[in-house]
Amino acid sequence: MDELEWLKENSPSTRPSRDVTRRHRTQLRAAIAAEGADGGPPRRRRRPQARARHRVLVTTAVVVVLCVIGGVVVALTSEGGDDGSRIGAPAASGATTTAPTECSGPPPAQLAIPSGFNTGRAGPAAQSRTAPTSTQQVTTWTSDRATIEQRWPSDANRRPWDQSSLAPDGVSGIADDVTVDANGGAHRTLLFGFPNQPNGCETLQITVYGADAATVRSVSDGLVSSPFVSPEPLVTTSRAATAIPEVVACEANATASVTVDATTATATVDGTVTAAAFAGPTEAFASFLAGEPQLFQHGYDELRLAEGSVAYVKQVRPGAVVTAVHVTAGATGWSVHDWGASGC
Amino acid sequence: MLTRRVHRVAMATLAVGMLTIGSSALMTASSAPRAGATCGGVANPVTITHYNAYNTLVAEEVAGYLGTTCNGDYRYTGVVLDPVTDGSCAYANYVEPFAYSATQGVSCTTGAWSAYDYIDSIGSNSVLVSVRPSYLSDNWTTSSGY
Repeated sequence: MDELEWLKENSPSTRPSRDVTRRHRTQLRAAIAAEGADGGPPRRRRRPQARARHRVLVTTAVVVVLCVIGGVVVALTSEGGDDGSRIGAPAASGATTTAPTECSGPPPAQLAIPSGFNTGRAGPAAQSRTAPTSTQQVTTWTSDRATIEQRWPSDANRRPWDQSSLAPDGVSGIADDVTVDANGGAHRTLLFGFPNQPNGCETLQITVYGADAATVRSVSDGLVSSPFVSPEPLVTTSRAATAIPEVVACEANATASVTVDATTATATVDGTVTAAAFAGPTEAFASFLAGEPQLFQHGYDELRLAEGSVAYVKQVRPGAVVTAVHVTAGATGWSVHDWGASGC
Repeated sequence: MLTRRVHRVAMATLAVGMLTIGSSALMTASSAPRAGATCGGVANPVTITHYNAYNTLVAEEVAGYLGTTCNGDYRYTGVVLDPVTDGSCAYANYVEPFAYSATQGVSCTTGAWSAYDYIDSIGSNSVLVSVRPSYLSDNWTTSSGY
């Protein structure tokens, strides 16, 4: 047997034996398992991962679509806000998708109803084109020339403030211009924002209706200047004093602000009065104040001076007297003799 | 493999959550009612007032020269009133958030109206306005369309 014949007889079979095939299968399975454990991308495992990515994409798309739809709904339900529309304009409908806010107790301030109006009744004004909700407190006062309607809280689309936008030390107001209606009548809406109220109860809404714009403007201007009854009495304290304190000059004369210095300012003002006599000093003082609307109308300290006269002084902060009115006794009674005040 | 998948799902959820919160905030901010002030939009002049804690009017601001302001040209003319003798001027303060803050108008004589201008060269035709005496805090409202 030569070498070629030996090789022919002992050459490896082209068909592997069963043992070899079994061994190769076992090795292949082990290799596949090892690849999977290493995190490699075996072809047969692509399909589940693609499915997972597909799920994430679909979920994201669904959420984005829901966000857009929700935003559109929110925007639509917020329509009718005063941005870009007249504050006093009647809403197209009394219906609203905003949950009505119910505010317990009386409104935060008592409206100062001008003389000539009746005592008021519950319910909206006849001219109102927006029906109040069942949770709004609505009162209407009527005179022979105008109607005043109060709503608390205000209509849902007339709430320019929330508690975060109202400082605790004052009350804010916004007054629309007078609107002449198609029927020739007119109306004007005033909004007042009160701090320290429950959410949704910050705004008091006043609408003045009248037969013409001039009437509505006259009545509403009065309410802009003096909208509410002051909770402060005319005289808050009374004590003996040796002298009338000096009134402070207008702050424009005491600060270094360029803006303020560039503005015309009056330091102080004063005057001597020949006024009618009254039975008591307080009555004389009250009568004087009624003719001086630029002075505070409430919250004065009464100072009883040694020589028998009385001074009424107003302080906006301790030690800062801005108004002093001197009342003296004469043969016919008490009358204002002289007064002084800050110029601003 | 399972850990990576969970991580990816978590990241996707986080991204979606942030997108949701962001878009909701954007929608809320853009749709929240804004206060009308010196101009409550084009051709809508309004009056803003400030009262003290006892309901006394202490500062007032009104759009002036009607027909030439609140007309969308970014130039506002207003008048401010010091209505009461309190030792303080009445100030009209303006703020463009993160860009501008100044007193634009001031009246320092009781009962006197004082005119002022505000020319807006910053962003949109909108600004925050407050009118008050020096001893009270600002109550900001939005003026737009001036």
